[in-house]
Amino acid sequence: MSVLHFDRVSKSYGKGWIALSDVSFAIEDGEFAFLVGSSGAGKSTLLSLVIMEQRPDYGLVEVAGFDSNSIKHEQIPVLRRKLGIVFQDFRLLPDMTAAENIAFALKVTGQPRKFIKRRTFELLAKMGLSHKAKSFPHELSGGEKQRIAIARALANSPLLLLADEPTGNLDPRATDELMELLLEINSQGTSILMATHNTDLIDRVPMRVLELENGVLVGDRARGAE
Amino acid sequence: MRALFFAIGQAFSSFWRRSFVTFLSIITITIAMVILGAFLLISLNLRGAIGSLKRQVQLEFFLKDGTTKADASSLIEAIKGERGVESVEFVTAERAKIEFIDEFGEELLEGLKRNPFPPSIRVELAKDLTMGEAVDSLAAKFKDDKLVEELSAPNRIAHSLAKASRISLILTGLWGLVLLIAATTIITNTVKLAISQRGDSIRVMQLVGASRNFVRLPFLLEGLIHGLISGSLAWAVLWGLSEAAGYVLPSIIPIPLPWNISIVLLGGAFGAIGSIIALRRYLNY
Ligand SMILES: Nc1ncnc2c1ncn2[C@@H]1O[C@H](COP(=O)(O)OP(=O)(O)OP(=O)(O)O)[C@@H](O)[C@H]1O
Ligand SMILES: [Mg+2]
Repeated sequence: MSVLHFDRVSKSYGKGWIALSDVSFAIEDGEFAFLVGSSGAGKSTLLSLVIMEQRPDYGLVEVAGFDSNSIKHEQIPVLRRKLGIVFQDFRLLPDMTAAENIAFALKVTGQPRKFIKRRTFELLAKMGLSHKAKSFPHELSGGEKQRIAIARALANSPLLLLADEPTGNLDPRATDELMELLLEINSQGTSILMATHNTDLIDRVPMRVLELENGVLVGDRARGAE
Repeated sequence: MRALFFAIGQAFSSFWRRSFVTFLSIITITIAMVILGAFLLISLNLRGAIGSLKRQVQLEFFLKDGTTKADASSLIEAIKGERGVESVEFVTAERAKIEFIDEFGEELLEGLKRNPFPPSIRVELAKDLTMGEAVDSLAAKFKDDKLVEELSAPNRIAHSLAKASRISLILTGLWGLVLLIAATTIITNTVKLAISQRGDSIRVMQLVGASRNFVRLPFLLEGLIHGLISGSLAWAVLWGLSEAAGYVLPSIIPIPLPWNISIVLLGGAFGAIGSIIALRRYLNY
């Protein structure tokens, strides 16, 4: 079973500028894949199509049981709760503490209060940030913020974790820690699609690489068994 | 239900956290509502004043000396049958004199051997907006009657009053409309300013799967609370204004209670609607 399937997807902005052109691939359940390509290659655009922030001009995106042709507006939140999303700039809610940020993802799904509390502290512990539960985002380091963002992304036990340049604002040590964390999450069964520029990281981590160039998928290397 | 509790909590906590923007939007809505209310107060009193002036508008036919009520009875009946006539009264020369003395004192009449006042017929006119024409036709019809010596000439006053009250009615409507549009624009923009700081948060909430209503509800409640507070403040300010004005013009009509309540509710509606309008561009779905 594949959790994500792109079938001949094209997307352009306005008239003429083609961000993605005839892209097809699938991510299987439990798989880890890097998405690489130079700046402007279309990585973020691809991820925005996965979360249905935009719809493709041509082709079909199927993700977690929904598809881009038939999904209704009011189903988009339901889809997003099955996905975890992490960004380079963390995108935490500035008015909320670390714990509240994580809990927010659970609140929107209408979970019972008790469960939210337990799950939030479980995730904080898993990230090694129990002592920062009451800190606001501006009081956290980049690496800590990113781990809170990952905890939030994992809150609803997503089928697929999407990460757009998650190490972009981290130093090498925090990058390594984050990578380790992501691999651990993946080993527990969550599929991960991670967009990155970090070639050093790709060289060290032997996972599948999807390569975009000017919106065209030019490479797909499965490297698990190298 | 859960979403509602969350929304209420958010609305109140953001109230304190963003105290400056909160303050700004409450002040804006308050000012808008005070201007609207003050305008209401003024036009209410203007219309009241015109109404009481109009009530004093009379047409008086002065009759030849020595005319008795019996002599004038057919004329009185004829006038009564006219359009726009509310009441007709025969005033004897003696009464006219008494009224004059009541008003101006006896001194002016000293030395006069005979009563200088003629008997008259006083015609009370309906408080009709088109009264001007009614007065004209009435005057034209009866001024040449053989009993009528002279005619008081309130025509011009009646005309201009009718005109003034018609214009004031149109102006009231127009001004009210302009103020309403201005208030809506100002309030929506203030709320936009308040929300723009949270545009990123709104996007993030939607990214983690918050439904549209889940995101909207706290803003809606916040807008509603701001609006209701503003409306109440406006009520207080307007009350103070009309009390203060009462010292200068004791006959001032205060804003009636239902209108005051409307101002509070309108403030609430402005706040809530402003939030929804301002939110639209931040919502992804
Ligand atoms: N909202 C938009 N409107 C117009 N053009 C856009 C928009 N978003 C992206 N683009 C264009 O589409 C192309 C692909 O952009 P995209 O953000 O997907 O690249 P990327 O691979 O994520 O780049 P980076 O590594 O710098 O993040 C770029 O040329 C970009 O200028
Ligand atoms: Mg990008």
